[in-house]
Amino acid sequence: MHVLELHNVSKRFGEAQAVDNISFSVGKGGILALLGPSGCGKTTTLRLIAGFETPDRGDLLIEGQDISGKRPYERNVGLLFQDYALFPHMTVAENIAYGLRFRGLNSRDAKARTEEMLGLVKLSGYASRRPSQLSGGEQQRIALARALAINPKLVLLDEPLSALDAKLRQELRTEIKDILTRVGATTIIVTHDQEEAFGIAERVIVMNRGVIVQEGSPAEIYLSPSNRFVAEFIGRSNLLEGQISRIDSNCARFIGDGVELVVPAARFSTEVVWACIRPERIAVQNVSSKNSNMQAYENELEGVVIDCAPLAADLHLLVGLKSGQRIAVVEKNVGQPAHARGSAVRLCFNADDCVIVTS
Amino acid sequence: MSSAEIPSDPVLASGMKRRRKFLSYNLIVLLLPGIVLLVLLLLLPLANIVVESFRQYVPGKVGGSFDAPFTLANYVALFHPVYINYLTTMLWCASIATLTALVMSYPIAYLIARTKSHTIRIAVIGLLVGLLFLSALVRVYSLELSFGSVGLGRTIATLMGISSNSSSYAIFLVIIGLIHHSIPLAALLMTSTIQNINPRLVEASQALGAPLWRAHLSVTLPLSMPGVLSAFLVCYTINLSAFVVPMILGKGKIQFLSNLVYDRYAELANFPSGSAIAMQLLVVTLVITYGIGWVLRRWTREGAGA
Amino acid sequence: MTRLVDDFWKMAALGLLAVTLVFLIGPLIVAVSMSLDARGYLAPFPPKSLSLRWYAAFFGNEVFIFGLRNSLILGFSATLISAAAGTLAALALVNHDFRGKPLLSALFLSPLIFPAVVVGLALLIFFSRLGIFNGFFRLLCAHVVVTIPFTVRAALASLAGIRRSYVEAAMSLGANERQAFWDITFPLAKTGIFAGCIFAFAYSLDDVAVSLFLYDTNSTTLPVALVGHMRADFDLSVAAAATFLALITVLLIVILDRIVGLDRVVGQGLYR
Repeated sequence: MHVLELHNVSKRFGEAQAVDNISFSVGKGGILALLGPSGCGKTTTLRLIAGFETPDRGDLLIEGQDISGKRPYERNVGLLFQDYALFPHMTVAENIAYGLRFRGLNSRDAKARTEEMLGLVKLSGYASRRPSQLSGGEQQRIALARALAINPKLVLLDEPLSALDAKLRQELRTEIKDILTRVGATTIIVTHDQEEAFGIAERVIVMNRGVIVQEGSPAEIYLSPSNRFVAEFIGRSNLLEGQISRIDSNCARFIGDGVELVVPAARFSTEVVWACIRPERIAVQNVSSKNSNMQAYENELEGVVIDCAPLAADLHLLVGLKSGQRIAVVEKNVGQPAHARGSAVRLCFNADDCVIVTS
Repeated sequence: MSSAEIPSDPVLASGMKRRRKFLSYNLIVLLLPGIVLLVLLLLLPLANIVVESFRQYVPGKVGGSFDAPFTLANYVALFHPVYINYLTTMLWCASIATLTALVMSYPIAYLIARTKSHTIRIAVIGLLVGLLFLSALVRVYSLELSFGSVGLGRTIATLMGISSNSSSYAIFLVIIGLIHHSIPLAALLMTSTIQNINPRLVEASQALGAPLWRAHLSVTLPLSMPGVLSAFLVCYTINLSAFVVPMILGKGKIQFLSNLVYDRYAELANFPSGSAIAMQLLVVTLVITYGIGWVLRRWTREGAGA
Repeated sequence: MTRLVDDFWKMAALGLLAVTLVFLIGPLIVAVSMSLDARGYLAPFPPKSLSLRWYAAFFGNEVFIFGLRNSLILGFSATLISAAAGTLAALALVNHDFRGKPLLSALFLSPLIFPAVVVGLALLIFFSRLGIFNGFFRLLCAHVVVTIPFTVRAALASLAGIRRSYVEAAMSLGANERQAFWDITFPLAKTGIFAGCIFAFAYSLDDVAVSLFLYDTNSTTLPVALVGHMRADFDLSVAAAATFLALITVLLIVILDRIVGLDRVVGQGLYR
């Protein structure tokens, strides 16, 4: 039985349809991410699950039971807010123990549970501190401890890492994932940040304008985006607009934006499609140094380097094709010399490196 | 995509009010005490004096007669030259006092807004708040001691060429009292406006060649106008309604409308006439607050290029 | 040349500042020092020798002490009732949107618009018509009405400043609305509400105009007693009373600073 099920849930605010007929479910111990740009409806979905909004239509079930009539304090759902919402007038211990008193724990058991939670987030000894004395990362972990202390059926994280700087974000990402898996908590994390989603969750649901656009593992979503929005929103991509004509059972021909490509035959259609090529799948060869040992690719496009920027671990190139298209390429920085601006290069990739998407 | 109404960020949008259905049945209970108090003890009595001001005064009966016939006599009496004189003296005193107070408060407001020393800031704010809290009687009494006949009264009066017992000196004293009353409030009101003016603007002005006084004149002063105006309106209204200041410092020679209202009650128990004067005071203060306020706001908006 | 003009204006501004500060504080210093004057009559400043005789006169004056007692009782009672009604009203206003809300907000802040004498006279006539002549009751009603704007405004400001996420966090952990209010909202709003109470108390203690209309011989307040004394016999026991009241004010300010912080009274502005 799934821990959480949503069936055809919709919610409207005034003129805007915030959430439009969405359905999904989460199994026990699963970590699901709702990923999408601001305004896509992910936060509204979270608040619907938590009970701070009521759906106009649809069913919400936790462990098979309809919870739409239940108040937030009757749902046994743990929430981690974006601003952590640690009660400023209480100590860390009082914060963590707050939810326990509604579950009938006596003070001794509550204290034990609090210590257990502090150990879980590796902040033992912080019991008598006040939230104002904690750093951002520490506040976040205490907020998580507070949400987990009540042993909720479901944990909801609202943009947990957005308030932290990049370095801290990486550390806490692994920590949170570790804590959640250790506790076995069924989790939904809501975010606009792909790294957050892909780093913590096993399954990702991409949302846009109130609807679910794609659902799958991070790898599936990245390698096989279902439409143009997902292709553009997830990772970096080069998109060329054109049409498909079939060649044979394995591959098809794509014509558009001044280029001709050999692409996988997975989608066959005469309507307008986009060829999506990820920058890191493209190999760059200098035209001047062509020799017979070099691998032959199914697709080879000639162009001129517009810009080449060494960004730490990657080399970011922008190459202009004869047709006017600009293609972004990312190479691993293994110490090779940077491509000079204006030098002629050949962009090489195979049919498998492309994905065809519709809008 | 209209994301304006969608609370995609409920935590940061704390200014957005959510209709919490679970408390709506409590709403009435929450509001009831306050509403009852204000309707019973403010709105009804006020409506009552409007009615009362149209009744005829029956002398000899303590208070108005509640069955007295209606008349316009109380209002007609207000057009008597004596009352017109009271009104104009009051408006004149309040105007001079408020303007002087604003000029005197501006440097203090600027000091609080710009000083880097925390001690000075707290000390001055403490002084101003203290004066605001301080009983008006205490302030007025101190002024009487300092500027009255026992204090500097005779010296100042001689300098002005009048007697310290004359009504001219009484007017002077009342104006001093109103100024002393207004400065703390005006300074505090103007402080927040000045605090929100970017200090870099004056520096930029100076870098472009303006001397400091010019820079302030063209930058700080115009930008602080909204605060100055609101301070003006608030203090002007308070000065018009002043009761204690003219009563003690005016020594009977100066009567503001509020003193007249009191006299009607205390000396004659003439409620109808008192009500009429009270209505006049109310109308004058409301007209001035909203009327001048509207005019001045139009003026600054046009000056600023709308 | 322009530098001289600049310096001149700077001096002028500083001079004006100094004059203003002296003007504000000077009379108070005069009053305080005169209260210690050993002379038995009102003589020119400064006093040549000091004595506490005027304080003895003040505390020995039964009318004054009676008035002080009444003022304190009145102040506490009015503030309590006003704070209760005001906080409840603020709770209703801060979290809900309903028709007529702007009107209701204006109603709660309206006593400030009306001149005090108008309120005093209106209540006097109203109570006379109803046949209510008990001075203390009338004064209590009047002071509650007049202080409500302070308590409502202070409660509104402090309640509005509490993040919704705190209340929602409490509810997600199991607290219902009532529990969330007492555990989270009220403790966080306490200080603001208390500051409003201080304002209300100070206002009640100081009120002259309204009280003059509504008091009776059993419920004379201190300001009323002082006014009566000032008109009859302008002696220095009033100076002693004034100094005493000033000390109470200083005490209130210190409490206010401890609780809320004077710095917050005017806020920090954008550029500090």
